[in-house]
Amino acid sequence: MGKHAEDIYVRMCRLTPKIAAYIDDFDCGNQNLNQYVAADRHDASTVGYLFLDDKRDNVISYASVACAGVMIRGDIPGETFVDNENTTLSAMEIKIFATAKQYQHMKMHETSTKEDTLSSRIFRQTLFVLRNISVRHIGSKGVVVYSVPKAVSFYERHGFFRFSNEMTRNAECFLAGCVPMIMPWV
Amino acid sequence: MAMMAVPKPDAYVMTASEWKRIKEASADKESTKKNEELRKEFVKLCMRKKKS
Repeated sequence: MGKHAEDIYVRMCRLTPKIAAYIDDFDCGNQNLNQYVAADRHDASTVGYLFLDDKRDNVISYASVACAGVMIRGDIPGETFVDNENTTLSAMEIKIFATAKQYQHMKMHETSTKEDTLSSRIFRQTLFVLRNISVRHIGSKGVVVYSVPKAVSFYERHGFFRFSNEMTRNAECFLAGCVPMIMPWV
Repeated sequence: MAMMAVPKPDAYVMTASEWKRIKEASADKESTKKNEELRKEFVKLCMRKKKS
């Protein structure tokens, strides 16, 4: 495999039962996340997207998205929310975003910065798809993710902001140090 | 990056003032424009709609 991504042809497809076998061998280097990805095909509340290497027919990245809400506490000046009540903003959520080991840190071009990777470009394309859904099909105010600590700077580079940890925690799924982040649509 | 986003809190909660701050900061951010430029180049170079 080449060292740069510019020669790779990427095909994006929705995860369906017909092509679910693609994620059987998906390995992002983290066993827990591999298990999340494998189980995601059975989660009716998410839609999974595969980004495939068209020549090698294997998975580069996997993204799983769903509808979500962000509860806003208090009054927002200038917005038509009920004063001093909790309000829920509609949002989209990237439940999972993972890239296979062999494609991680792969620069887009020889001259690219270390941040301009195939994974980053694929993530931008994922945001574009979500934006399109929000404009054309179901409106939302932005996108949320629940980021692992070491990926926070990745999301910040793509327009996300951390917010205070007022998130209600699901003890079963909570991972220490993970950070809620949001990118409002502008 | 091996592990980037994981499932899942029960709910996301933030204060109104924080939402306002993030919205204002987001409006000024260059990343939105940059995202779109880099994405378009990526689509032109790499994306295929159908299997070859």
